[in-house]
Amino acid sequence: MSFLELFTDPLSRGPLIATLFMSISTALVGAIAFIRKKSLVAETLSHATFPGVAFGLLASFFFFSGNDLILFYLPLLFAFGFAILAQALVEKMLKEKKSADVSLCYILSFLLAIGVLVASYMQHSHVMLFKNLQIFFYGQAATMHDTHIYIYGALSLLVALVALIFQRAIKFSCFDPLFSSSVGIKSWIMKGTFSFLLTLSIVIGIRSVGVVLVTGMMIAPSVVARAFTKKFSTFLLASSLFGALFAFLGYIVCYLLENGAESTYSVPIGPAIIVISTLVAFISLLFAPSNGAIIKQMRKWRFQKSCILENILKFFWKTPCQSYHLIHLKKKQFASFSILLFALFKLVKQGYLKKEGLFEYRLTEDGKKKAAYIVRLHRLWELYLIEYLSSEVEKVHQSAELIEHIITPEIEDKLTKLLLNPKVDPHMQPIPIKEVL
Amino acid sequence: MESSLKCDLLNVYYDDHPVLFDVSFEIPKGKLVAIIGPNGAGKSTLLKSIVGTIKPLSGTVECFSLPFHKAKKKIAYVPQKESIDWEFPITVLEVVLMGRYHQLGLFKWVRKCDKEAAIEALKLLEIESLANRQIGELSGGQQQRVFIARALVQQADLYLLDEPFAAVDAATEALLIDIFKKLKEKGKTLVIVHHDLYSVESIFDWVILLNNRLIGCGEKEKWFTPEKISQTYGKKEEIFSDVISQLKKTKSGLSL
Repeated sequence: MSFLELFTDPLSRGPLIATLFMSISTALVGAIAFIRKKSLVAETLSHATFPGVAFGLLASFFFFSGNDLILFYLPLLFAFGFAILAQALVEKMLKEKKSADVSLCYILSFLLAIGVLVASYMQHSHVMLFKNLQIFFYGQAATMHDTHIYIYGALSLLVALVALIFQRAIKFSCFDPLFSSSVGIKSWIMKGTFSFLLTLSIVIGIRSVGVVLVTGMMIAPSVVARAFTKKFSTFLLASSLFGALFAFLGYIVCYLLENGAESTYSVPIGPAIIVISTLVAFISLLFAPSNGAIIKQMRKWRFQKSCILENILKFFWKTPCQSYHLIHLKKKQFASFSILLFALFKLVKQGYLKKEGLFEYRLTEDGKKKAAYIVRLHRLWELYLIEYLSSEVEKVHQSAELIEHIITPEIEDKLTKLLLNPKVDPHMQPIPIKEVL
Repeated sequence: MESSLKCDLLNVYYDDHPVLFDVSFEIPKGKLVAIIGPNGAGKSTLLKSIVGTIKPLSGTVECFSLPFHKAKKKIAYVPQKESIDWEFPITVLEVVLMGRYHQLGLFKWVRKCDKEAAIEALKLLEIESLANRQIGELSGGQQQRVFIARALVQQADLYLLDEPFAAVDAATEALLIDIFKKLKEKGKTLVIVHHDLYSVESIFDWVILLNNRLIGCGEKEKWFTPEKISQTYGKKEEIFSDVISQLKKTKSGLSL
């Protein structure tokens, strides 16, 4: 079966398409929760839906004698109601000056405990209902069918529409709440929209991933999206797309595992999606273009390298006409042997040094200018520290050893002007004049 | 003398202690006004209650002889930097476009003319090259310029600014002062929470002295005096006002 057929095959399209819808809406709302720093609220609400589902199942059994359609919709409605109730309770506790994490944990455990009590009652008296309830606790994407596609598709569309319409209200109120209220945007618009979206997306999510894991669907896509976007609208869009992508990947992995060599067990889709999306989020944080861990490490290395190169040039500059052998340079402890060799190779390539026989090096004219410029920065900085920041003469050298590698031409210009183009440094050494490189 | 801002017996309480206590004052049009007072004197709170983000316990605020909520479109407010989420994914241009809220509301698409107005304001603040950067990537001075640009886009008659000079570089400060003075010449009123007492004389022409209650409001010649300042800042600041009066004497040749 090709991947496209997964979307049409009557057995696989239910779980796949319903899960895709679900992950788009949870990722979209998760992005808003991420930006509002309210991810823990999502966690509380998702657990609060559990007693809701339990009561919903019981109610549909007692009052509607287990009608299939009612059994389908009523738990969702009750879940929605309980999530709203949880928010009201948390609000109430916050008003009583309880801290946010105390309120959230308190309500989360309280409502979950009620759910577990009801569940254990159902386990003995209503075994079929209990099985239904278990689906919502751990989630069960594999048993979803066409009805799920329609209902979750419609609900996801509603989530996307509401988010689109109220995008500006959310953006303004989160970014700059004081300005927003000064122009007349009521903060309850944003808060109300957010809690509606959050509740709805959790209700959409619990059927396929369960109350315990549904928040996992919310966080990872927004973490990835945040690393690549700088506009709110693109951030929301990217987060939804990543949500869909992760869901698809998760589904494919499950599919391959289940249909692979002689395996007989079934792989739950929800947890697979969450594990995959968390891994991708982690990797994308490593590789993010502007502030990923890898790019940061590379920048650090580049800086260390340029320090070593400049220090070698400075050493040559002390006796500009003498050539030095590799062994001699090694004794000066610029770097380990291999790095030193690489640095010398680099300097020759840059044209600052030239080779005079095997492992024998000498400064070129360009190298002299470059080195003189570095020494100039060093001495300018020393002078500045003493004249303007009243440092002691003996202590400035250490700082200048580092700062000389950092000062940009603009700062050099400013220093020159501020210090009136000085000629001697605090140690009575001449400051090399600036030459065009 | 037409009034641009009038507060009448404003009382603001946090929990059960007063932050503003019976504050009443009136500011005519076309003034550059500094709000000065010690930490915790209620300077920011005064601005917040004028723009309605804090509800006063009692008292009224009038702008241009209208109750505040009717004059909203004539007011531009720049909050303190601390209240802003700098991590938020929003570009400089988008921030400035927020100033077009009164034209666009919550639901209309951003039009070309809105973008042009925003770019124009960015040019005035000399940061149009940063338009597509994320706001958090900018330096403190650049960020403040963005918020002033947003206020300019609002085309208001009354500007309320909460410490616009906090943590900005010298070039930005000079540019902002220049812009504020030009706005004043156009007949706009600017009310600015200000921390640096040394520069009050050279920038502003009115002062509001505040320490939970109003110490005084009026022309700086009359109210920005050592006695009033020491009254505003309590005993600890007496030395400061002594130094200021000594400075004045020295400058005017009255003593060495």
